Amino acid sequence: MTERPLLRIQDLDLRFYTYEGVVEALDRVRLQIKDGETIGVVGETGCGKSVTGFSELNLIPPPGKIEGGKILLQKNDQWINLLRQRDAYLRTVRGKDISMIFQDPKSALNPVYTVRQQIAEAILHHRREELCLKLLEDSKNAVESLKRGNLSEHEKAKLTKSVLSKREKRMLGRMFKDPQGLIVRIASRIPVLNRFKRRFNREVTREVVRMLKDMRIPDPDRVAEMYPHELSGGMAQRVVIAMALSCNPKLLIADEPTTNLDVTVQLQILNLIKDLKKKYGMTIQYITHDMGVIAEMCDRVAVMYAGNVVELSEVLEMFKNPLHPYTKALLECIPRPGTELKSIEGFVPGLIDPPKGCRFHDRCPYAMEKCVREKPEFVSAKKDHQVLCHLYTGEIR
Amino acid sequence: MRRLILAIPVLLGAVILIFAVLQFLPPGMRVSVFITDPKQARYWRLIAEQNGLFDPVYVQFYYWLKALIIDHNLGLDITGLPVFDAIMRRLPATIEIVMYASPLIVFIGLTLGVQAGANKDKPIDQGSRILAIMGTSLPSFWFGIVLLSIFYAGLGWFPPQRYGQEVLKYFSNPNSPWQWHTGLVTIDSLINGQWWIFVDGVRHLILPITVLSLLNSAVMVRVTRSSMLEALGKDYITAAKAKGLSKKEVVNKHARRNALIPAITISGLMIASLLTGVVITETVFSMGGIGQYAAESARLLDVPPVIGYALLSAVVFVLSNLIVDVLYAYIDPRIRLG
Amino acid sequence: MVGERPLGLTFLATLEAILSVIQLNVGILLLIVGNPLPQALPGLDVGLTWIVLVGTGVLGLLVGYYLWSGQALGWLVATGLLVADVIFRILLPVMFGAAWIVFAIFLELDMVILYYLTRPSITTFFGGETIRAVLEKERVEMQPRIKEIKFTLKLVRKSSLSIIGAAIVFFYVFMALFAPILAPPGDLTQGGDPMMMPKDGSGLIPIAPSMKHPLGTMQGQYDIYYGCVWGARSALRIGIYVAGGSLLIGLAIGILAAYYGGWMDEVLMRLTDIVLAFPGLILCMALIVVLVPTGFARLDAVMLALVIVGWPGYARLIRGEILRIKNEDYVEAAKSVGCSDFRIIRSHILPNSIYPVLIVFTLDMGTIVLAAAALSFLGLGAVMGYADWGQIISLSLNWIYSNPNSPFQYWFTFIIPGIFISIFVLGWNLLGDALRDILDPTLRRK
Repeated sequence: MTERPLLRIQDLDLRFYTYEGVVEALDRVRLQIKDGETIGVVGETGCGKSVTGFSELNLIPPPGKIEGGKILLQKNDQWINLLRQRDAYLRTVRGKDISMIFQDPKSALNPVYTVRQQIAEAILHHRREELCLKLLEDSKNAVESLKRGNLSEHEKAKLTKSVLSKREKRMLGRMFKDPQGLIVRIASRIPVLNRFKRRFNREVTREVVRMLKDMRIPDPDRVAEMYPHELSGGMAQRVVIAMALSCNPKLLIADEPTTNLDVTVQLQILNLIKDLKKKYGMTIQYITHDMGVIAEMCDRVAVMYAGNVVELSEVLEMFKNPLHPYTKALLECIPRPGTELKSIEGFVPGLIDPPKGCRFHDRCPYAMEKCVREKPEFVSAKKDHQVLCHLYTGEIR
Repeated sequence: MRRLILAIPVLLGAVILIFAVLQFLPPGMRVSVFITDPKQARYWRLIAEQNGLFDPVYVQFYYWLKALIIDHNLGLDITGLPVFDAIMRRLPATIEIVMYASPLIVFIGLTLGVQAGANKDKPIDQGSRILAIMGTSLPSFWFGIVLLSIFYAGLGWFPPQRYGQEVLKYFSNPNSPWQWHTGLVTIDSLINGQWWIFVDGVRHLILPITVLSLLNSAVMVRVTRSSMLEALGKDYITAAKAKGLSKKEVVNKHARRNALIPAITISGLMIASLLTGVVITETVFSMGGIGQYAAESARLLDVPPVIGYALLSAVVFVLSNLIVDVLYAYIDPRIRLG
Repeated sequence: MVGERPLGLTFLATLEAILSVIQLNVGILLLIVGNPLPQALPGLDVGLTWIVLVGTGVLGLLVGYYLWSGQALGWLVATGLLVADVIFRILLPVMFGAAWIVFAIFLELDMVILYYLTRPSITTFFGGETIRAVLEKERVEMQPRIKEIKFTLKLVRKSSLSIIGAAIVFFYVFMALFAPILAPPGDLTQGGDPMMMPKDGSGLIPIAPSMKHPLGTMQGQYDIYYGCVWGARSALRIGIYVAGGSLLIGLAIGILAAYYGGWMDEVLMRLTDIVLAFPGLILCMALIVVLVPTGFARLDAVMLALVIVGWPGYARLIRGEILRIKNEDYVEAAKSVGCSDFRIIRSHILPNSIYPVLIVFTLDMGTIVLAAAALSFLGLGAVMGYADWGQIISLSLNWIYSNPNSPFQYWFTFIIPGIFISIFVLGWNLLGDALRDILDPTLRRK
């Protein structure tokens, strides 16, 4: 894990314009994700943790609208504001630089397409050139190896399969340059001429199966041809993860991926994600409401409440030394055997007409008069530990 | 498979229903099924007795069914012609209209519905809504009359009936080399190489086909649109967008397939509305098909042709629903693989 | 109060139930035998009488049930209600005539009283609370309901299409109710039946609109204006009877099938399938062609045929809805808390399943009138001269080709009645669509 920041969310404002009023879903949210870390975003339902993730991909559906702020992504040594980009550019980011996995895996998969088709779709969208080149490379290497000789019959047979004819190479070249070109499209349909397409598809399928194997799915060839409704919950989630990781993204946003699964499956998936991180080295933004998962998976954690990030620190630090009253209350609510169950008094404020000052003030045991009037600043109370609370605004560092 | 087995008792039941309906009539009227020669009418009582019309119900049913299936005897119409022959003679006219109208309906319905759903509240959506409203509010016969008065009586472009005067003269001329192959004007004229007959046929066909397709596609547009809207709200659409697909790709590849599935089930119903639409349209435009035959017979309260047409439509409808069910199972993997 | 049924209450309840059953039977008898009662307003006839009678009869049964289940209060109020009920129900149908309107008002009263009988706060009233306290409790409890109603009205107001639809429907109802004033039958009526259009002469050629005949005359010199205005009556009548009839029959069969399940369900559904194996209008044609020689009047045959063809739709719909709701989680939750079957049906299944039926009903009003018009056009519906829109158009076909130089010479014979039909159907369609958007709970909160 490096100290280099990968994604920065600055003063993000998100509003939903509904019949009942304007919902202030996100209010000057600030977040910084470092390259290679696993950051958890934790909070109750409705606190805005999921929409933060969607905002990063600029996938907020109407009537929602991002009203202000910046989302900066570190790409090619440059900072790019994702909120200011055109859709065409964002489409190269989605799935390739930033990927997302969802809460309900079965509904995230299209029921009328097979697993292979759906993962292949992602691969085709972003890695088409790479695979074309790979095919051409393999062909060249195969030709050379065959020329050198000294091969068993079996190896010879295998290599000849990789050799491409001139025509096929030409078609692949065309596909490389212009995948939607008329010639490519027509040729793909005609039986003899479409050999190049079939080889390409076979390569893609190989990639798909490889991904599925990485996800520790047994019998990946068979699973690839299955439809989503034939899969179990855990299997479906693995497929979704495979789909998300198929193009090697820098950032993986995991939106409560294990909430809908059985506890045993949950553990499997969590371990899988940890191992995948070791293998692929991507940054993970883990959105959840489960403190246990945070403790297990994350390096840093951001606590959200009612559309604000109220605390941001390293995981151990948060558990040992929670600063924000909400965080403290949350930790106290974790059931411990032998002690009474505790809860936080009051209700989460409605976001249509949110409180003017600190949004937690009506439930906060430390509330001061200032908290009702004025919204606190997001300050560093300690090194690498930021809080949104008036209690700590004196200790600016 | 289960559907196939269920369809049989339904068909049987339909036939029984028709028979039960027929039983309402006194034997004097029902005897026409068995009269093959108008001269026999004087002896109807005898014939009725012979054919068991005074016998108990189940005996009658047996004879009636036998006559129906084995002899395809649907009785005689009011002019003394066997109903079956009359229907066969007029069938090509109806088939010609239906054959062009159905793909048009499916095409308009599906494409317009998909586009309307994908572009909610934009002009194309508003346009489709207007079409849908028109289709469900306008009486088809009235629409036909209005079009007729504009385009025929007014502009003279698209005449009613099947053939113009010239073509009729040509057909009735014993020296003309014309050969009927399929009975359909548009096809046969091309086979015979008579281009002008083809044009004439098309001119006559345009109005009835327009009336049929426009009004019937309304339902399809509505259904497709709403199923498209439903599909677009699903999670996998968001997931697809998160993969980086463009809006067009998302609509065409993901939403459309899922939206079309419910629309397919409607196409079964479309056959029913076509069967009824044909009756009205053929009457308005005087196309000489089985629909008009049924309508005219009904007007004269002539029972056998109407019953014959009802039976025919029931068979066609049930069969086409079966086909649609099979298609549906084929397209939706959830049903195919259980 | 449950479990503690005073004897008097049981007696009253049983009496109420018996009276209602008698009333139902009288109503059915009237339908079969024909209407020997004098008619207050021309055009309103046996069918409507029947509907009113049956309606109040059913309500009476409900009152009886509530009384019996002990949810009602002091027998004092119950007795009072019953006495009034008895008077109205036995005497009024005999006196009929102008009393019809009073009858209708009592119908409303009945429903209101019925509702209040079941309010728990009322129960406590007779346990000793003051009226003010009761009213206050009522107000608090009604608040969320009132809020919902206000919200619904707001939605209605926002959707301009629904307003247009409602306006159109009101316009036609107005026209139908006040037809005798808008187009007085006068002395040109055929044989005293106001539903037959007045004939002015016996020429065949339609005459263009003029002062005497504002919308012209059709073939045979029938006044088109008269036909269109009174046609509204005909259309509404056909619509209500057929839609109402198929609704009742369809609901009954569908509910039976869904409730009992098993082989009854199978049998009933096969029956539905058999009728649905025929395209609607075609089966209608076949039925009419058989019914008319058997002695039915034309229009009655049309209506009967349309009902026979229409009930399967409702049956399937309500059965589907009930089955769907039965499987929903909240029904299971209610069962697990110990709700009785009846309560589940009343509070959960019925309210949720009724919406699609309502929507289909409004849409049906339009479709049925269209179908009837098509049948009239084909010559199977109203006889010539009857005030029915389809009938007017059917004769206009001849006159389009008559004069090649001016094809629109007889435009009034078909354009005008056609517009009447189209707008009528349009109004109901818009209303149905608006209802769909407004009542569907998932679409309400956008």
